[in-house]
Amino acid sequence: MSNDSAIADRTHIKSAARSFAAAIAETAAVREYSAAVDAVRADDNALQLLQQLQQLRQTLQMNAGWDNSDSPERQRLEELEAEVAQHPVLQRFFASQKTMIDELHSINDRLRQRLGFDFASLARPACNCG
Amino acid sequence: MSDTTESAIERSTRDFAATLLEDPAVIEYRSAEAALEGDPEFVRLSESYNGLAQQLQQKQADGSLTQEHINELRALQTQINSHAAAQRFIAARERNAALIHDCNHEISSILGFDFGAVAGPRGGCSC
Repeated sequence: MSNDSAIADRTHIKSAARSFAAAIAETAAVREYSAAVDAVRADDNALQLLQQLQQLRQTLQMNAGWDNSDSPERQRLEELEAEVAQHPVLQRFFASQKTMIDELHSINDRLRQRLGFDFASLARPACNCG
Repeated sequence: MSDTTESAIERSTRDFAATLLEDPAVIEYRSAEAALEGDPEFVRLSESYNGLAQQLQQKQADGSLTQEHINELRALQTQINSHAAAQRFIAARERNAALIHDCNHEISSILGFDFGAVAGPRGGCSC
């Protein structure tokens, strides 16, 4: 095979990859997730709750070395998690996120069945195992 | 709407996979993998390595692990790494991974998130 034909083949592959991505973006799961993200961005209360939850989780992770099961931070985390679970905009966000991830796994599974190898696993940056 | 979207994703998945399967890097990767899995000497070496590694874990746990054991395991690892079928497979995997990274980059730039990171098996890496 010449270099020219190899370049042409890759252009063809990239075009197929773009069509594949466009079709993924049009699935109901990805569209719903995008809409749910927009809804969160438009809701100050939802954003504030998410930020507080993230900050508190980081704080607790940094203090993970000692037992903090009775700490005020741990209690506040439980309260925040309960608030997030009750918030309709955030409920929609987390539900749509889960559905989208399931859908992407399913698409990758179908790709794996055709290719004979796992596309997503090979696409991940190399790790330092072994 | 849902049916149309379903067929669009099915069609584009099939087309994308078919295009990839025609690429020399993918062809060589699949061929090298099949050759590796079908090589009796490589299979025997791998089984010996895995069996010994398991034994040495137990020895480490009960405190009886020696430098001699570790050297034995390393010698097997060296034999595996220098096996012609393994070297062919590693080279083919690198070329294929480079192609798949490029494709994933293309896909992710359209989606706005890393497809490979989200769609892959949960937890751990593929090594």
